[in-house]
Amino acid sequence: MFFLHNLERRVTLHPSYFGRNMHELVTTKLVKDVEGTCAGDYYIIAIMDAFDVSEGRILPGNGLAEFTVKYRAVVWRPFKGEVVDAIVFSINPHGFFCQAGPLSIFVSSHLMPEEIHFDPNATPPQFTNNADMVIEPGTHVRVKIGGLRTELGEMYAIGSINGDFLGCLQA
Amino acid sequence: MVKTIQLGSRLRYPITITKLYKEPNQPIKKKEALFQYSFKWKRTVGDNIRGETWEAEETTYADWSSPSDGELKAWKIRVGQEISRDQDCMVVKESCSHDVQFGGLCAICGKDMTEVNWAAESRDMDRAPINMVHDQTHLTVSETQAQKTENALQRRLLQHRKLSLVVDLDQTIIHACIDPTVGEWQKDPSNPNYPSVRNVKSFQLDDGPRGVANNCWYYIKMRPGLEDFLQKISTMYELHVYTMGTRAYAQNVARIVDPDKKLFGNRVISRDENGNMYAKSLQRLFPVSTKMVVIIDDRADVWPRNRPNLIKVSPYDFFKGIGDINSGFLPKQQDLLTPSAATTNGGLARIAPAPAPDKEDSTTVEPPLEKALEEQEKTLEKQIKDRPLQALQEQQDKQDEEAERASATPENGNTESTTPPPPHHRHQVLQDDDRELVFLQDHLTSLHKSFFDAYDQNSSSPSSLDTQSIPDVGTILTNLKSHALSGCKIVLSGIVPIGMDVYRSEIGIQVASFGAELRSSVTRDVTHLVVSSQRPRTKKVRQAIRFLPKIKIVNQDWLAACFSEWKVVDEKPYLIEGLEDAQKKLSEKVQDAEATETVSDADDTDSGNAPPGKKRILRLKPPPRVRFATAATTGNDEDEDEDDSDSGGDDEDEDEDMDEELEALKPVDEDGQLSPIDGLKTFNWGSADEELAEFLESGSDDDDDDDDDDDEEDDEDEDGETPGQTTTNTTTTTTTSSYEQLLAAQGAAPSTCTKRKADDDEEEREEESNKRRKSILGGPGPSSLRNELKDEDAEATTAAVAEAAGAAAAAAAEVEAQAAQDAQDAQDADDLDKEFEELDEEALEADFLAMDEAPGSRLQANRPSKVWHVTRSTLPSRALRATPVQPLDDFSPTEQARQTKRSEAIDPSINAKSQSTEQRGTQHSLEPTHQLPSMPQDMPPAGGYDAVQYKVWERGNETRAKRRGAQRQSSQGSEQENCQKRGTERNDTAPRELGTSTGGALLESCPSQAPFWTRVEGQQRDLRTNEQEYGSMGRGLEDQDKRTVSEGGRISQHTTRSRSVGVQDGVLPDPDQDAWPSELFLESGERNLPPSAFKPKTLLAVGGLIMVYGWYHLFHGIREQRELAREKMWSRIHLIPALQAEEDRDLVRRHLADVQREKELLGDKGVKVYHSDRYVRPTFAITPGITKD
Repeated sequence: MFFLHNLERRVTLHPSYFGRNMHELVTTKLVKDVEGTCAGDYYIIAIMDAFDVSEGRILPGNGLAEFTVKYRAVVWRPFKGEVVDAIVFSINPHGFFCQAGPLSIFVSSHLMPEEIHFDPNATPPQFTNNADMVIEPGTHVRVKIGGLRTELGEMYAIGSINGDFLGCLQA
Repeated sequence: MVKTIQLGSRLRYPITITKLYKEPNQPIKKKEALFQYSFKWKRTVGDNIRGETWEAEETTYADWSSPSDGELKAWKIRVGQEISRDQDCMVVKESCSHDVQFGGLCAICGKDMTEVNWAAESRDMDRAPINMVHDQTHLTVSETQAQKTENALQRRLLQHRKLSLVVDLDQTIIHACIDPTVGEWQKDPSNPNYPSVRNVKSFQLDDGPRGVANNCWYYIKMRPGLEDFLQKISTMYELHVYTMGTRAYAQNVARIVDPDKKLFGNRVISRDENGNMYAKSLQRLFPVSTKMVVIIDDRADVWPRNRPNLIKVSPYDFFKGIGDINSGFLPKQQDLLTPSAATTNGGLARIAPAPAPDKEDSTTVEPPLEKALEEQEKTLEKQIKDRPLQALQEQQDKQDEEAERASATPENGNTESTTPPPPHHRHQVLQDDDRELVFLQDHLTSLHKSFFDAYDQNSSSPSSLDTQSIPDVGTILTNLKSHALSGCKIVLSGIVPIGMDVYRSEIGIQVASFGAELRSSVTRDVTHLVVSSQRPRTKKVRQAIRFLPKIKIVNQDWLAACFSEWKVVDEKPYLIEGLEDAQKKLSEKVQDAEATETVSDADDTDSGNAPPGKKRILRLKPPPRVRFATAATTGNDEDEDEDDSDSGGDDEDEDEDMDEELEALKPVDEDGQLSPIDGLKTFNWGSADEELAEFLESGSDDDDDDDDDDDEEDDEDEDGETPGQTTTNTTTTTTTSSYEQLLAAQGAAPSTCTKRKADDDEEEREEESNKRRKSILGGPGPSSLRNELKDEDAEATTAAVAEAAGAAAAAAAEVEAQAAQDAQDAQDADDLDKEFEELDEEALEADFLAMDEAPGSRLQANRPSKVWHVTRSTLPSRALRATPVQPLDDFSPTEQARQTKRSEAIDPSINAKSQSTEQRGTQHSLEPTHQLPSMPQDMPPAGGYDAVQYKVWERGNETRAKRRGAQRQSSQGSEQENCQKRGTERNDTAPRELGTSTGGALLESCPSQAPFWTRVEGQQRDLRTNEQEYGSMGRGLEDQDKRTVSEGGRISQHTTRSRSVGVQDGVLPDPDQDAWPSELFLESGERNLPPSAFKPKTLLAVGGLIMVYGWYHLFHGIREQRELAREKMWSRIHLIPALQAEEDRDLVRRHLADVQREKELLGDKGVKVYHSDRYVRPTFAITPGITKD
């Protein structure tokens, strides 16, 4: 689910950048540093604006200026039970991996409808029910997140296509 | 899904099941209590402080919790059951077996597997430990799942009659390089290499190594015939890519090799997923069974666990000198079969391939991962910068020019299979003449065939897809290979690096795997000798020449060909040339000559040469080393000697003087010319002895100061002091018969004394004194005897010693003996005594009458200086001397003798005694000669003092001399009275006497010292008695009453005093004891005090003089000091610059010498003493605010 979230971050600036447009630089650096990262259990998708850039403090020792920036960002936090659209990128006999934005989801063969099975003879190998459903790398699928785990800087998710309206998306 | 769960090993067995909470078919949850059990255990109860503890058995009830969720299917236990060890307890249908996990999540139920809980014995993570997916590392599966998957795979493969083939990329099916030269050649059709590189594919890798190699182009040359090969093979094998390159690289290469992803699909595994930088493992992909997996790789050493499944192909080396660009991580390949170009194979005979620096660089032995990465980067960068191919080509062009000039021999007779390059005036570096894949295809086909033949034989029906009867492809492969070279007996020469075990080397293993027999030395039955083409003349070759027709001497390419073709290929193209001639020559020679030649040859070879050379060196070396060693050892010995002498000196003599002398000896010693004891030969031992004696004396002097509170110890100490004094004294006195006697005794005394001093320490002395004390305590104090013994004959002294050591009875006997002897003595000295009596009387009278007259002078004039050595001013002696004068009516002689020795001393047979005492007295009489001048003339009348008076007066006196002087002047009567009093005191106050007697005992215990001690003894005792009396004075005069009472009928002090007083003035003493005795006052009423010091005037004058003198000197001293300071200043001003300059010159000279020396040592080739050019200043303080970044 997407949220607009107020966040705060300390941005350091090298002394060589000290000048008139420091705040701009700070914002740029913030965007560069933060956008697209996984901050705990959510992803920072985009920064709307930095609404408060504090005065810089010189860090003793190295002379960097530290700014405390308060910014507003669009974050995405996947929830258990959330249904997301994803693109399949890897298939193996145990299931397939798909990617919903930054989050890679593993859909195990246990969490697929009964009729879908692994076909290793196809090139490339695919999950198929020998009918309309063919899951191979590049396929758009709709999966329901069944479990989430966060580690430092990355998230793991388990998905399921066992349910109504889940599975391949007919484009 | 049904799982049997065990109780677990953590319970305290034996347990008894008491209650089951759940029924079968009930759902259970994790950590939920399922049954109750009880167990018995011992608890220590009681008072553990008092140690009264015992063990009491207790029963505890506990719940057993479910380790997993699911449904309880059945109990394997029942209520009341006693369970003694871990066993099954229930059957559970788990809701999820967590067989597939992704990043710590169960891929089936979505639960977090990293949680740890107390109910389960193992973590859920451990349920799925196997990572078997090509392109993911986070996806793990359980064993059952892996089994299932692999079974499915095998069935499918069997169904399609396929096997799995794991294909390595680099140098197996492709050759990659990043040398930009390739790109340039591709664009330049005129380049001789153009035809070769035309088919080279390239891709740009954006996530490659950073730095120069970032975003570089990778040039991929597929092995000739690869497409065909793969197409054909893929019908028999399912292909996997297993490379040590990065994932991106692997995928790009796979895309080049297999654009449609039909061959490899997504079955690509790279080092990113491998999990090991140094080895590949089939178990990573096929964790359960590798029975149907074949590997083709150019390196066998990276497959340590899967050698049977491996078909080693000869490395594809298209870009010469590049090697494997992804082998940076792998351990160095020690023995490459074809490390050099195929020189004799009709190829480029004259190309001496440039050394491949990148290869050398990249082949470090298993560096740590980060280092390996860096190394890899460096290698790649180098390749881009150095452009080895371009260099090669330039070299080739040069050679071509030369060759063209020389002759026009056709170069390209090579056996290229795919693209024979068109003739060109320039020759190309890159030859595309590899045929490996052709053979490989054959091998794989035959392997496939034999595998399925075997499978068909094993399985009952081909359609059943029986996974149990799958033959192991590894064994089949081994069998196939083992027939390839069977019958060959191969010796390798110059191929395996020296120092490596041939049988363990890669080539050796391979030779063996092909069924050939590998020999280490050339014998008659060897069939092939494989020689490195670079070193074709080895010892083994020489040996083999003899059997030439039988042994085929071939180069290493023959072996490579055999390996790739799996058969004994025709040796002809590989035979080493020129050996026939050698053989012919050899055969012409006689056998024995040949033998000798071989022997000499053997000696000439490198390996043969080395030992003698070494030996020679060894032979040469030892002498100087030995010499050096001996020198060193002798030096050490000398050092040790010095040390020894030093330490010996220290040990032997702690005297400082001696030390100094030893130090003075040292320099001579250090020269090593003289022995350390040389100096001692000329050493004056006499002076040393004197010094020693002096030292010991001084030591005893020191001891003297120790204890003043203990009388007895004082005694001893002062005893120790005496010898020196005595000696000095003796030398100054006149000689008499007794003097001679004395001298003799003295002569013995110092030596014994010093000996004793040296040998015994204080403890011993203490012991001795204690002993003496005891002996004295045991018997009546022998001190009285001592007076007589002192200067008497030796018999008496020895007897006294015995007495001192002996019991009281012995002492008594001695007393009697003494008495007898005394009597004898008395007879002998009767006349003398009388004389003395008269003299004493005279002296007394004279004292009384003329108080201001010095009695000593008179005494001196009258007395013969017979005995001089006894203590001066011995009060008792004087008292005794006075005894004859005194009527001793109160003392019965018998009683005295019976009572104490002391009283015996005052025996009526005093005549005899008096002689000795007189002797002492006469000796004493000598003193006034030097005592008198210092005596104040205004002394109080000696007769005016009685004992008490004397004591009171004496208390104020500090100096002994004065006391003595005063005493000398005191009347005989008073002295006698004192003596008497003392005698009486001693009689009833025995303990007090102990101190007195101790000195005597000491004296008596060492007869040889007797004469010296005697004096001190007497003196000492004298003093002590005085002191005792002073001490008793405190208790006082009132004690005297008691004493008088206690003494009973005996003479009292008062009576004595009255008598003495009576002698003086005829007035009876005041019976009133509480009043001050009248003797303390003069008749004028003034206090009757002896002069205690100089007159104030004198003192003032003397003090004033001293002060004036001091001031005078101070004045002069200050002036001198100022003068010195001035001098110093001037010297500084004038001298110091000169000295400084001198020092500076010296420093400069040293510096230059240092530089010169350094140059000599290091040479002037820019070698520095320090590792870095930067001079690092020593840092003494850390400046705040400066941090290192």
